[in-house]
Amino acid sequence: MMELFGRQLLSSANTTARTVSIFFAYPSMLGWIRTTLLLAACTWPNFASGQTSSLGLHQAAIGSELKTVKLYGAGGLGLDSFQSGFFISQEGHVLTVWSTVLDVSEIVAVTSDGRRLSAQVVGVDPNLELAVLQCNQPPPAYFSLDDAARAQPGQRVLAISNLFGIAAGNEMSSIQKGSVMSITELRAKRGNFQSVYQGPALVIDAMTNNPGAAGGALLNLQGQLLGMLGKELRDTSANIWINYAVPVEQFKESVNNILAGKTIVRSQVTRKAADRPVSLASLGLVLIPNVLGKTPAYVDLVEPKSRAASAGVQPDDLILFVNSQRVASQTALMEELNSIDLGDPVLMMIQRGSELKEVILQP
Amino acid sequence: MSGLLLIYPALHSPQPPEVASRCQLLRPFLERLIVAYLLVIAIGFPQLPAQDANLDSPPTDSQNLAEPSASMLELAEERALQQAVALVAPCVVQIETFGGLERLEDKLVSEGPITGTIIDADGWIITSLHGLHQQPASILVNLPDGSRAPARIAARDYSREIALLKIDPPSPLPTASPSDPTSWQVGQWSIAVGKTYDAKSVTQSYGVISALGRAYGRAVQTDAKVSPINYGGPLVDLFGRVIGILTPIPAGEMLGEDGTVLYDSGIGFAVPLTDILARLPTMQAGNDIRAGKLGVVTADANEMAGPVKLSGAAPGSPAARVGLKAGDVVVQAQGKPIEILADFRHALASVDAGQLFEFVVERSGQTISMQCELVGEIPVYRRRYLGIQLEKAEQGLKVRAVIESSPASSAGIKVGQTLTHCDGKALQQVDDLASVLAVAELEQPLRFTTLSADGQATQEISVVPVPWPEKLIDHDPPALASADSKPSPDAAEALQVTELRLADIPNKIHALIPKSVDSRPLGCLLVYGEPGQLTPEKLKANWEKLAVQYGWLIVFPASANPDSWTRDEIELATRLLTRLDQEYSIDSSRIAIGGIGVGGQLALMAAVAERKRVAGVWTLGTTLRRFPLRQSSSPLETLDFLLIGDAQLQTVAEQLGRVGYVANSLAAEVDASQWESVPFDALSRWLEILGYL
Repeated sequence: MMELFGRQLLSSANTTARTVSIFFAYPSMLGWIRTTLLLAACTWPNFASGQTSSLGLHQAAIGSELKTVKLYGAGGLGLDSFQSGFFISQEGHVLTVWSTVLDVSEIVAVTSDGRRLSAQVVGVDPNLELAVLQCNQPPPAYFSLDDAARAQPGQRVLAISNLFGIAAGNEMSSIQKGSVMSITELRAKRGNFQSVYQGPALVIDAMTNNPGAAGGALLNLQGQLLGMLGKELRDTSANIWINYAVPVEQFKESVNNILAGKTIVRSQVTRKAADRPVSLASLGLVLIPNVLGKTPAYVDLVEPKSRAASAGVQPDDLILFVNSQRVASQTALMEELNSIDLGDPVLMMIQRGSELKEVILQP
Repeated sequence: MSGLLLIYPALHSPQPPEVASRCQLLRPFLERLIVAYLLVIAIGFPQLPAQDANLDSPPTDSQNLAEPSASMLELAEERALQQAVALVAPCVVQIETFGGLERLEDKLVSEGPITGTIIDADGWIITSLHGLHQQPASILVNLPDGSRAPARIAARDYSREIALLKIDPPSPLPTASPSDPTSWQVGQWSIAVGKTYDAKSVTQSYGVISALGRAYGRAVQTDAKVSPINYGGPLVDLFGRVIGILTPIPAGEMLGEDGTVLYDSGIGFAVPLTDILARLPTMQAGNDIRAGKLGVVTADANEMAGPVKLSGAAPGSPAARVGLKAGDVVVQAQGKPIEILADFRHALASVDAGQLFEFVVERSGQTISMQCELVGEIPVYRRRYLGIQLEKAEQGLKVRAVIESSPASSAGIKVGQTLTHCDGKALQQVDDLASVLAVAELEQPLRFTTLSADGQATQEISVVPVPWPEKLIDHDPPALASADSKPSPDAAEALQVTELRLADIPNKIHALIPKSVDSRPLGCLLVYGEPGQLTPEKLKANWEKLAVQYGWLIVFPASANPDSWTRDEIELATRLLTRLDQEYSIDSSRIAIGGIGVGGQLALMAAVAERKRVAGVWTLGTTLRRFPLRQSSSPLETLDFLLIGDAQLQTVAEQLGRVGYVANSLAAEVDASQWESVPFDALSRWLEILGYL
């Protein structure tokens, strides 16, 4: 059966236009040798046993295990005292998430070969919520951030972390396989608070959103580093837990700065309210009474000769977007207007019946 | 080769001949595809676009040659999966909603975008009902080209949890093509695609088909991650063809009504696109789809119970119209054999309201084929009201009491008369009339034949049954109205206060056992009090009048633990009622359970569990905000409620009333630990009415 199938592969290869064109594109002997070797491998008996197909993953996983650590620190009062991390330098620097676990003078880092290292915080980036630790011994192996890869949507990945603190001593951390569902801006919260990091995130479909997983490594199937697993977060729009990692390119510069001894301060990313914010009254708009939690922004009245009237806004129009921001309710509209200065134009997308219209309310 | 099989499992698995022939057709194409991938990887590895993004150098030749199979096949697989997603991506849209409800039955409604799948070039889009429950004021569809279009909801399919939207696109839209259901195999790749994070790129989660025919035959199950991130999006096969639309469809009794609890759990559902397309013309015409209902009452509600024996048909239901009767056994439905209740539910669930349902029943040795059109809603069953109390007599049923201004009293039925026939059926037991009444049409007169008190003259009387009154019926039995309210001098002999023991049960059980009053059988009342000790003296002082004058045998189990009741003690009711029924002459229509304070919770649970036997349940000073009773009232399992306590209980009583139960609330200042505050008069009257028809 195996051999037969191999022969079929060969015959279709010779008759397929696409493969022929590839052959023309790569006419060198090396290409032929590779192809022959590959097809020979396909007919090799072991290949059918199913054991070898995971060999690459196995090596990627085992190689990466040595580069990761199980971290133990402060806990109690319902907070976990463990998380994950991975080596990023020959000198024993460990990258992990900045959390209450690190609030001790001496953090314990346990390698997958069972060594207990003592670690201290070298520096933190409050914006990315990451911390770099220094261990007292060189690591068995490490990820070089310079050798990291960039993730693609749909790419399959491995997550390595000590989720639930299930591994101890010389036990290996846990490996989960999944794929990158999406690369997207993080819109998430922790408890009732917006998460600090709001940048691009690799949303994955492996269930890493669990205690202890934060600080773990996200790898491609060749074992190259793609990102660091983030803290437990809920998606604000769908109200569900999300599994995500911060991509390497987002934190590489910051980590290098910390390693270079620079201090990183918290940047103010919150949106500033305008000094003289525009209001509904100043636009000449009266909305329907705001009685529900999510009353839609329907226009009730337009003051004659107002900014809204000149722009052609009419009663019963429904305001959907303000300056490209979705306003799902009147409350959201007020928030949006608060950040717009009285002297600036206001761009609105409105719905009139089944028609969408863009209007600019000039100052 | 196993790696290749992962790509297309159908290549090697044993399969029925017709599927195999299809695979023969696909085989050359697949082989070319696979070979092309392998060659591309083998030769052109560094040049592939996705790999260009690698920050470091590609794997060296020596690594490649050392293990050619593993990572290459993984990558070939990955590329095939990504291509499948790329094929369907143009048909996947983001849907945003504006305004609407913030909460829906205690649950915060997420306002985030949802996904839709274009199934027709003219702008017909399928999405999940999940994002539309809040009834938004406006719905916008964000098309892959960046344009936006307002959408209207054309129709909803409540059975499959999906909705059809319509937009008016300026030019024809790309449409998703359906995957052939006969090609589906458990274990084959399936990819969940969504578009909630942004309007231009899709999300994807890879998995396999975990099972077919789930959620009573309405959904395909996958282990790809399904959540609000991709509800409304497609589940596609390896060729980018749509298997189904992802949606949190309720999957069965065990998992409850809310399908979203399973999000990201490894259990996700997709409604087959072919099933949706079959209903598309109906939905395009603006007709909502509901699950079809037949209106049968089964003798055993356990899904694993079989054979499926009916205990009746709900009045006004399709089952009643085709003449289904108690005792009928369903043996076949929609051409499939029916052995247990779950089989029957499976057969029913895929049939919509308005569609024909065909089935076969066995009735006294005969096999009868039936068919009927299912309906969307069975009218909620309202208990029929005549306003009489009957007792068995030599020649029929003797009228013991008639409630004032009831249908019976208006028709001229009097105390002492005997009813011998109803609509031609001889009346020998009270249950004979109860079963006629249970399925009688409202406002349609029932013809009774009566005998006068002296047994000489017969008379025909028509009584028109009406729905049971919503207000508490104010009625005292005639025997009591004339009796002296003080206990008679021989009360000591009229009431026995004793203690009962049940084998293996540690609970102490006190009982007040009166002599039968007025020669009628005793009613039986079981009371779960506050946890703690009871003394016979205190029981007698408070409950004697109810026991003796109204004829109730009252039992008070004490909690095994002096501080609290446990759920296990609900079973006490079953054990006690069975025992009492064996030892005493109990009127089966007058069995009630009561609860005081926290004991009320137990009383309600015990009554629901024993609803076949128990006629009514009352609580006193028990805090209830919502009573989790799922089933509507059914003709043969009625249960009356009396909730005494704070004013909020009225809302609970109204909820119960809406699903057909006779439920009353009584606002009263009660202290659950003090029996002196029990409004015995109201309670006695309510209990008295329990056995009435």
